Amino acid sequence: MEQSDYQLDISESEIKVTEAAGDKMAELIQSTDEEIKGIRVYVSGGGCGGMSYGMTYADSQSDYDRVLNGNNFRLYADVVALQYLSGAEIDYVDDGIQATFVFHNVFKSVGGTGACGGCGAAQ
Amino acid sequence: MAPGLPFFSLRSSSSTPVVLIAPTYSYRASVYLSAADRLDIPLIFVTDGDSEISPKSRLGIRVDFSDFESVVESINEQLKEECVGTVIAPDEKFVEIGARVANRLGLPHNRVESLRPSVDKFLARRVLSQANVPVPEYWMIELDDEIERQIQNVRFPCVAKPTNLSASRGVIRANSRSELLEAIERIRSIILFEMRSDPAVKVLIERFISGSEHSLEGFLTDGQLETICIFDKPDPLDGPYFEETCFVTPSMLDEKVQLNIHESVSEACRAYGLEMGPIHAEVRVSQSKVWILEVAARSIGGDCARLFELATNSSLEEYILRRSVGQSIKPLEFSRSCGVAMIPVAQNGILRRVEGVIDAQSVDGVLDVRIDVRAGEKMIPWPEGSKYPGFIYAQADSPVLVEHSLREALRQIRFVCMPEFPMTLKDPREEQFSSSF
Repeated sequence: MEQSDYQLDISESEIKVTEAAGDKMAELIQSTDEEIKGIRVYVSGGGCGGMSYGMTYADSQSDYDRVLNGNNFRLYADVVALQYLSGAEIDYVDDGIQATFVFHNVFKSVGGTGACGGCGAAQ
Repeated sequence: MAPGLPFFSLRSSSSTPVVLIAPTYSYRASVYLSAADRLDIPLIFVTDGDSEISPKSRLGIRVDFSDFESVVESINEQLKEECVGTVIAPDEKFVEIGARVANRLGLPHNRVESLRPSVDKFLARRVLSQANVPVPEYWMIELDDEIERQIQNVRFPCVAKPTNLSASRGVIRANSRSELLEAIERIRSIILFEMRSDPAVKVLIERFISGSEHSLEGFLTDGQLETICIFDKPDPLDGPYFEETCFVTPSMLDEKVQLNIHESVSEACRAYGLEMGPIHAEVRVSQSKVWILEVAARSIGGDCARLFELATNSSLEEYILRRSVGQSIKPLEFSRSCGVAMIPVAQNGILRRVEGVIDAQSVDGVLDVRIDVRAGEKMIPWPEGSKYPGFIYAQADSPVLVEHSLREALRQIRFVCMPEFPMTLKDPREEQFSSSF
């Protein structure tokens, strides 16, 4: 059997982080304790309502994580999350009313809205 | 394996089997399976999914619960050659399937119509009002219609609740018109998040009744209610949100008031048309008057029922099974005062670790502490959330001491969470929705 070389880094073609988002991630990491290694993007759930996406701190790197090494920040996503996020761009918008990370093209790799639509509940 | 085909190996038995209908994700299924094993009551397990959740061989039928119409047909087809004693469907969403199956097999059970008010808050209010059973004054709001016009006659303070969610999720108190409008919009977001579609659903608004809240655990036989126990809820449930905290039994209410609770719940069961099986009721007592908040044709939810296993000589599920097959048994009795605390979710975030569990277990009177969340899990407080991260069980010589133990143990538990950052998803069609609360 041929041994595969697994990719550990997240490439820009998989997830692109804008300068604003990268600066915010760096700021969030610097403002917390030393246990924090970076920012984690995760995907959970499934079923009729589709996947649930979230962002939090990462305090460790698991065997299934891949990493985007940015300027003063690291972004972690496990391989399952990456399947759903591949092709996405993460931006950060603060318009004075709402400050939020904005994920564009989240469903590029899987199509649709990420919901199953099987029972109509997701439509 | 295709739905409707039998699975698990067959086991011969001289006793008449009980049919248990529950989805594989049901937290109630495994406790009923264990109870049946302990009592040596043969059980036919009707469920979905691909995994066998019990290591023992037993009769089983695999079905597809998503097709409500055909599932009853499928179960009946499989059971027509079996001699079945009774049907138990312990999860609220499945009680109607249980009744339909039992009715088709000619087994004693509640009529389907009698179960509908127990799963529809609006229908319940209407049925109980018509039967002159005291319920709070109520109004119905259609979310896809103009809200301002619909709330013109609402009297305050009131409580707004979605009709299609459970476990106090989305239940919000409003003291004014502006608070109610805010509450309705928040409920709309909760339903939207849950369904990922425009919610064409109703919101029940009811007058807030001040007073103490209690729950009754009971069992109906031929329409006669046996009260197993009444729990006091010592924390004032005045809102703005209504997650549960402590349940303590025996109740410290005056015996006459306890009798009133029993009578009121009996009247509610009669109004619904319920005649058999477990009953869980929630009531408010205000100046000795009993107001029905909810009567459900099931046993107490969450892991609260475990208290019976820890503090009596039988689990609640064993008791329900034995009563359901017609065995004459002594009422469940707590030898001492006892109670359960549902651990609240204090903050939104991603769980990093739980601290203080051993300290909580060491509190005098505490029987057990059960943590049901794992690192990495999302913690969502009420009203958006609906999952208690854990339960504390205690026993002592008096209800006051039980309450003290539960509170002391609750003080020890700390959930260390990481914040969840606000994020917005935009799909290629630029439909935008927030991914989290």
